[in-house]
Amino acid sequence: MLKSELIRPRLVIRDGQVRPRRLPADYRYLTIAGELAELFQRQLGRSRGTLAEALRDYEGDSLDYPVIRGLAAVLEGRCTFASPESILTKEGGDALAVSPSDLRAELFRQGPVTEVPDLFSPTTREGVLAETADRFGLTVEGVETAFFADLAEEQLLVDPGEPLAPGDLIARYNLEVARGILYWAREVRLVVGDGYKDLFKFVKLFRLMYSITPLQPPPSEGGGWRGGYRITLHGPISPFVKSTIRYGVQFAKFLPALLLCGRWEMEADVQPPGVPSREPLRYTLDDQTELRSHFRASGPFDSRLEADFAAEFEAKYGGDARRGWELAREDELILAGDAVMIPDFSFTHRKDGRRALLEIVGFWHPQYLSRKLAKVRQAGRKDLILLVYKSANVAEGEFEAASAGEVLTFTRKPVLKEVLAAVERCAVAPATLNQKH
Amino acid sequence: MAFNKQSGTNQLKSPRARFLGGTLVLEGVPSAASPPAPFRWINAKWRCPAVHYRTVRPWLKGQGIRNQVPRWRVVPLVLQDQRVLHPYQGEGLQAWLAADRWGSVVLPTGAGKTLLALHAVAQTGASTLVIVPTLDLLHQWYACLVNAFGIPIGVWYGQEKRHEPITVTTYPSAWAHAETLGNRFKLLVFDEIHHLPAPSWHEIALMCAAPYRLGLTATYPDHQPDWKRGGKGQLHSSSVGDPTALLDELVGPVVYRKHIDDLTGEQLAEYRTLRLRIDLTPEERAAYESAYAVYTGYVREAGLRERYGPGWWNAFTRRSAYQAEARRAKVAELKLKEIVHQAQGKLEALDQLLREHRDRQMLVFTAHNRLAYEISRRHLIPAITHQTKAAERKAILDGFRAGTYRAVVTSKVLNEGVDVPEAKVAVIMGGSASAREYVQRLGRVLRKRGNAQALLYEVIARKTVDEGIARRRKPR
Repeated sequence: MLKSELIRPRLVIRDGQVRPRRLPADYRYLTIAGELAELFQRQLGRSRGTLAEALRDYEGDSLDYPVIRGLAAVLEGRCTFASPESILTKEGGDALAVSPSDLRAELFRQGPVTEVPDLFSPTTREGVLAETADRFGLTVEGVETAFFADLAEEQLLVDPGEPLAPGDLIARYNLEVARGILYWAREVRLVVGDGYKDLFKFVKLFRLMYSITPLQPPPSEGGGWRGGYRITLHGPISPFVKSTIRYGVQFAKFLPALLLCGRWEMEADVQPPGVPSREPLRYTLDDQTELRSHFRASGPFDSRLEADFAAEFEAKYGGDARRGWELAREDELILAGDAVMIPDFSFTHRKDGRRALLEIVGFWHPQYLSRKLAKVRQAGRKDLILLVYKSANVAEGEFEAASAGEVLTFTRKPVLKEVLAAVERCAVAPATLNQKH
Repeated sequence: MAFNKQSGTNQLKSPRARFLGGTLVLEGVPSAASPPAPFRWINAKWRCPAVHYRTVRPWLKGQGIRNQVPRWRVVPLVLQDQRVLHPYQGEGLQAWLAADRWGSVVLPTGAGKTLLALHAVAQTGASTLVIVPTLDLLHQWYACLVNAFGIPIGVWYGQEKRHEPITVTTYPSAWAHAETLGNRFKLLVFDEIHHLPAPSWHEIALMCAAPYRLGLTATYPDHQPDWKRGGKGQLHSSSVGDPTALLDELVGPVVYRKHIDDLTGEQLAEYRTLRLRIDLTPEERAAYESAYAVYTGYVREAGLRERYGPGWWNAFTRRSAYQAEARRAKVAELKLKEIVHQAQGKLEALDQLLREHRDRQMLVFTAHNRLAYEISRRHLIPAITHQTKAAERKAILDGFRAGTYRAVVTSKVLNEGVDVPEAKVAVIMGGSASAREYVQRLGRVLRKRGNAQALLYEVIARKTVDEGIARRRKPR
């Protein structure tokens, strides 16, 4: 993530809207991106301070300096630096006998020394260094290296990271600037139609809170309703203050997770510093954006059980596209108190649109099961079927007691026929869907 | 470990209060309950800002709600500071204790607010967070607390994040980390509390659960927000209405106030200012002149001074973001300042001064860290910059006071109201033209002590922008 001073020059503000000035992958910027990537490769083994000087020289008096600094910051984020001390240690074998700050204290105790020799004080820099080096079993060069080895500027570039093609560097830079706009976001509103599992995984990871309302199915669509939710992201203190930008950094971290979804829109209220506007600016994005996520989407299934279940269903019932039940993966959210539950599968009847949800409860850690149990209880949904693995770490009858819907147990492998029978019994018409909320 | 049927059910039923990101959340308390006013039913739970912990605690207790909020602890403290409190300090302390450790004490500058606070911390004997506006004050508090209690003290800011039962932090860091720090301290001490009503920053007080709070200042806000008068706005623009009312709510009222104008008896010692003019080397001169030509050439041709008057330099900076000539001139300006700051002749002058004043404590001020580090390496004198960590900084200043270190070199970090041991010789190698900074540096170095006359050297590069800067630096 880039510092905010690298974001501000890239904002375009007009008519109450804010957006990032997109950096085009044209000849000019591809050249800059390529040259910078090379510059970093060449700096291998040199210090942060030297790298900074090289970047300043490269920048020269170019008007593109905010872009150059931004691209460089992306590259620097991929680098690994190590203190010269650790390198000394690696080469010499033994750990350094003295920390840089203790070494300095020792040297300073003998200072000040002057360049021009002084009759009254015969101590010279060379003398102090040689004697101190001796005492700690170092060479004079070792002392010079260790002198400020704990300063950031002295750290050495030991790995510039995987090479990044110029086009990819520009794409990543554009993503970082878009994220940066959210540093000043008070609230982020989303409409999302899929990819819930990853989405909520990252919402949780970045310690955000949310409120969710289902999109109402348009009356015309009936069975073809594709679902979707309106999600407002905020933090614990948000309801109690007029506005706060304290969750901005978390929103910015989160943005690439949203890009993993297939169908989405985003609208953020943003108040960048120094913008004389009483009303916050709007920043909008949707699934047509060019921005690409660098987060990895998780696979379609969390467990073997789920994958096998889906495969077996497809083999036995998937052929008939006109009749019976259509199986979908994680396409509905259940709000359970202030938590959200995403059942593994949904069944939608191809003719009348009736729906039921299925959650497979496999062998999991007791704490996980206890949270799941609480969610199931909170959900109170009759159309939620639980498929519980018999030797799961849970006392018999526990899920039955908590669930409002049906609970099937299995020992080795669920029997598809029994599951479908339960689906027939539990499925509800789309009109009553989400009535609870 | 088998899943226990009982625990699952109990967890839901036994009500508890916990701290969540600056709020208090009641778990297992149904919507039909009627908790006290600050609680609101949001996202399927009763919630309120953590500041209300103090007022809702009796209710939690009365209802038998398990209280999982506090993560602070008792800290047995022995105050090692032998200084006796002035009567007004003692009165202030007693007033604060009597007000249930909730409110502010207003004393004039230099009246010893820190000592009063040390006593308040000692009397409370629990985890304490001290919040200060600047890094310099953070370092000063750190040193005071270490000396006063002789235990490890935590510091929490950009560079260093070390958490201890007694920790010092800055307003920006406290703001950024309020959701995690908020329930770890029983006592909050807000130094220079007039900064708190700023937008965003008051969230610190809102999001902490600490039931004890002490505000300190010489200038308690009236009804006009202080941050509106004082220069740069903080992070953000949401307006805070009446700052006094806000402080009342978040930290408590003023419990003690004293105007003692005659307390500030500090005087500047007699001192002499000496200017050392040095010449640039021929190479430096050539580089300087060519950069200077580009810079002034642009400023003149663009008619910046005529067009913008005193604000011309800001206009110049703005233009340099989009106009190629202006950008070139800006880079030239930075270049020529660098030449002047790092001039070889200045280093030679310093070498000479170090020899001349071998027996006197010397403070050397530089404009930038880089030069400070270079001088430190070259002359083996400790450097203090914004990167120097709290413990090393304290060790250096202690060493300087004790005479172990005869000289210290520093970039601008020693500004603004920080107690630094006096030196008898100060050398300014460069710096900003700000008159205020100049006076503060003078005041620090030249504190009255006996009859010894203090010396202030300004090392100036002849026929460069340095001369103009030095002239402007003198207070008007």
